[in-house]
Amino acid sequence: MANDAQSPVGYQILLALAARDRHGYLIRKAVEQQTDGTMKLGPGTLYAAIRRLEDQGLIEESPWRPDTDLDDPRRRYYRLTTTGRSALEAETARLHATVKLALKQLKLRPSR
Amino acid sequence: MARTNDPLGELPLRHRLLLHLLPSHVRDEHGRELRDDLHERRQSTAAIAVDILRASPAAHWDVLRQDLTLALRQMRRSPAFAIIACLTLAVGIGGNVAFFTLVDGVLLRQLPVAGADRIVDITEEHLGRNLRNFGISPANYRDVVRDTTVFQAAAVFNGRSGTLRLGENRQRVSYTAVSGDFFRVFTEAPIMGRVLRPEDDVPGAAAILLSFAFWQGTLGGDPAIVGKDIDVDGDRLHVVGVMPPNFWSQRASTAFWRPIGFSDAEWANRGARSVQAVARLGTGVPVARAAAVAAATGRALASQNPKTNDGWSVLVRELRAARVSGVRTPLLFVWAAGALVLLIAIANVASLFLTRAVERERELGLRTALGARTGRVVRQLVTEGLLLALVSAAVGLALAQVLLSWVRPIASKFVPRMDEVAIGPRAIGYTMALALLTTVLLTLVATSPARGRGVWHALGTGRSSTTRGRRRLHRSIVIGEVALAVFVLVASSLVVRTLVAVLTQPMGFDSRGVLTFRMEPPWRVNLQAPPDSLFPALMRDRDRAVEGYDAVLRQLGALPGVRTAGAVNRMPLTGTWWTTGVRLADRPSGDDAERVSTYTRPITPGYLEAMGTRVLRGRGVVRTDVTGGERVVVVDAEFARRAWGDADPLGRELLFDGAPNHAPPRARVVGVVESIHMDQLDAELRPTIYVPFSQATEGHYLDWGMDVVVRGATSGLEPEIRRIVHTVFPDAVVFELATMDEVVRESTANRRFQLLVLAFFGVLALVLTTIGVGGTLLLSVRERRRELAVHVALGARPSQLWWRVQRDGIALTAAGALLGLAIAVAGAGLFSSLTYGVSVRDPLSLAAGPVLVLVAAFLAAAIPATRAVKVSPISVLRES
Repeated sequence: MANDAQSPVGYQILLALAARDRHGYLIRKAVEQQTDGTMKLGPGTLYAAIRRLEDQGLIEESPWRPDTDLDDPRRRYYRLTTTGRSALEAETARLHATVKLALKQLKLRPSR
Repeated sequence: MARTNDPLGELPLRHRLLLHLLPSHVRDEHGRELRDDLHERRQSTAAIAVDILRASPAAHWDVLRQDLTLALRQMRRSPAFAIIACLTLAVGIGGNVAFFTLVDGVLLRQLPVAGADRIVDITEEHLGRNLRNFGISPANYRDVVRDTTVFQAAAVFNGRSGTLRLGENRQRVSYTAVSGDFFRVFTEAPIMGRVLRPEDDVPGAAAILLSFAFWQGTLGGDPAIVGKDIDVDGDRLHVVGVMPPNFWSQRASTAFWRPIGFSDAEWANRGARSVQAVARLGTGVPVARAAAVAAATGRALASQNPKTNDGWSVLVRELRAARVSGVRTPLLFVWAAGALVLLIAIANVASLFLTRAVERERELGLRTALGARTGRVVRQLVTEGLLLALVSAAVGLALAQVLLSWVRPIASKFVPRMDEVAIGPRAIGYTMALALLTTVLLTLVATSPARGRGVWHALGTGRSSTTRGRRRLHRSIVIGEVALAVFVLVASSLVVRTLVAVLTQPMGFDSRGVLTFRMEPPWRVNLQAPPDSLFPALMRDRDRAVEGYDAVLRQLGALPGVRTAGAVNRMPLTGTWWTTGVRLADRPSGDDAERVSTYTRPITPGYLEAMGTRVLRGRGVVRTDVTGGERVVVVDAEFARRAWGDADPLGRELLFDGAPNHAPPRARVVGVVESIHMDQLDAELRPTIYVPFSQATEGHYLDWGMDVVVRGATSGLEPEIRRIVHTVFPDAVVFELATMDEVVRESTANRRFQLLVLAFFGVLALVLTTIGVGGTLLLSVRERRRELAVHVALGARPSQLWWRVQRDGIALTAAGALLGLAIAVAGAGLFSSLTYGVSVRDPLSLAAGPVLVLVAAFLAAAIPATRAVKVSPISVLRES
């Protein structure tokens, strides 16, 4: 079944949450960093995507909070669910296979 | 909870508006984060707008998909509910769309003619004598359209028929005789050759322009037809062109157009309103201005020519309006009835929704408690309603198609342009509008428990203040539904009563066992002959015809089973034919105001007997009333009443118009016969006189065709009849063969159609209302189980419980019935176009609606009442 792990925005958000739980602002920053600044998420896109991922059960609100002095306690943190993690892994494997095939077909060597 | 104060409230208005493009639950869930995010970024409004516009469609689609899945699951869980709701709505929508298509196709849509909005119909009317759509006289027409800045082009025309000769075959064809500028009013181009031009329109003109259907059908689509000659009534007519298949003209059945070829004398005729007229208005001239100009000309003409024009006025209407003026009200009525039934259907489904809302109160309450905001729940209900409405609309559209295919053949008998009526984009648009309206109404009802604080209570207790509010809403819906149904039923009953009244009134003839047909000897007088010899020529032809018809009628009378046979120029119920004015010889002034406008019917001996028209005084027309003998006339009761009141008409004299420059012929009244509704059964009586065919100077227009009436014959005699006619008139054609019963049926097609449609809607309204009342009581029994259980526990007898529910149903229905009755009485004026011979406040019809509804409600209440009796106190009390 198609889920949002397969959409570019959804994939990047899941990826951002794979390392650690983050709140919205941090997700945005992480995605920007992961994509070398090519994917800048506006607030509408970001929260609609978070909403969707949450509805699909790929992420959930995290009960975990960093030290209060480090962060705003009112912010909501998100983390990957088990489903979310396997969806991310499945999509990564699929992407990997695709890239491998593409490299072979195009006779390119993976860049380092 | 923190959510209750909107975190977005602190944002600038433009940002808040933009955020409203996102689904509400995104806003609700992430309001605070969105606000903070927007604060931190300090992006331009444009950038935010782009972002939100990009994100929102997918987000909305998500929600929609979720809701649709939920809605489908809901339908699968209770398929009976879904099917009943869907069918109810589909029937309501289908009926409505079918009749919208009818109204749209006939009344609203423009005629398929280039610049049709600038084409007008010009007619004269005499309101004093209740003569409308009467045509116009050639001389008046010329004066009316004189101003060419107003009437850019104008033409007269009239429908005629003739005998077409193709090799050895002869057949009747209907055609239209048109004056020179007809094809400058209707500017369609021919597909072959050319149209008729003003120079074609001379006395004795031979040019004709063919209709596509006639060219393709009768003439076999000969590709080289232009330039060839065809034979009509012995004239060789020269084909100049063929019109395209969709060319719309005044008469659907016209085979060809032929120049009318009026002589100067004919154009100068002011008294005979023998032609119809159309005109194309000048650029930018509104119809109202043309109407004012024509009306002014009409008034001037009336004062200058009181002899011919007194009391007459000139009416200019847009062609479309003129075409459908007779069917407008009945069609609108049918459409309105359909709309009411749709409302009933919606009310019904809404009450079903309410019933289910009770069951779903807990589900919705749970969802709300789990964090779904009211807006989100409402949205889901909207989607459910929309899905149901769309499915119903699709089914309804299919139903409408079926309904139209049933209605079309019936309605085409009296509704013009019926062939153009088909479901098209406009009908589909209308269906969509109905589906949306349905959704809105359904959602308003279905969400009423979800709105407000009701949902919160639903979790805690089974009952709450909203239950009472909802029950009140439910009851109001049912009362409204019953009221609408009563209104529709009253209208239906009125139509039934009217048809009965029309069919049971004295008709003035006996249609049973009578066969009729029309025949025309193929002779025409030569109009080019000098006027002095024209009249004698006409009379010579008449005498030949008298002899011929006499021979035909004698032989018909000798056929097996035939009792009598007779002939008349135009028999009853075939439309308005040959009206003249006659003067009463015993009135001192020879003034024209004293003329009695009358139908003139030349008849043969035996005609009145064959029709079964009774002679009230004196005698009918007999064999001794011969040419050259004393001129006699038989009047009908209506003529006698209007001319002489209660005085004895026998022996009095009438003055006819005769040959020019001769003393007017006088005729002695020798009999009075019962009156006949000449035009149609539900038209008022018009004075009618019968003159012996052998003495007739009027009643025929250049031809000597007669309607032959044979009492005792069946259609099995058709070959015999044709043989007899052909032995006497070898070149004559026999057509329009029908039984008199068929003619009567045709004449009441309009009423029968109304009856059919309103009966259909009446039954539908009744069925829907029954379901509505029954469903409501069922719900109320379910809700009051505890109360009922207590009653049972306290020893209430089953019959008491049974009647308790029945009383409830009757109270509801009676309230609705009273309301409906009040509306029907107050709006009785609306029914006036439906009725004839029955009062719009006919007590029987007014009683029928409420009685039917009450009986239906009583039957419908039986199921919930029985269920109430079966309530088991133990299980109910244990539940709580």
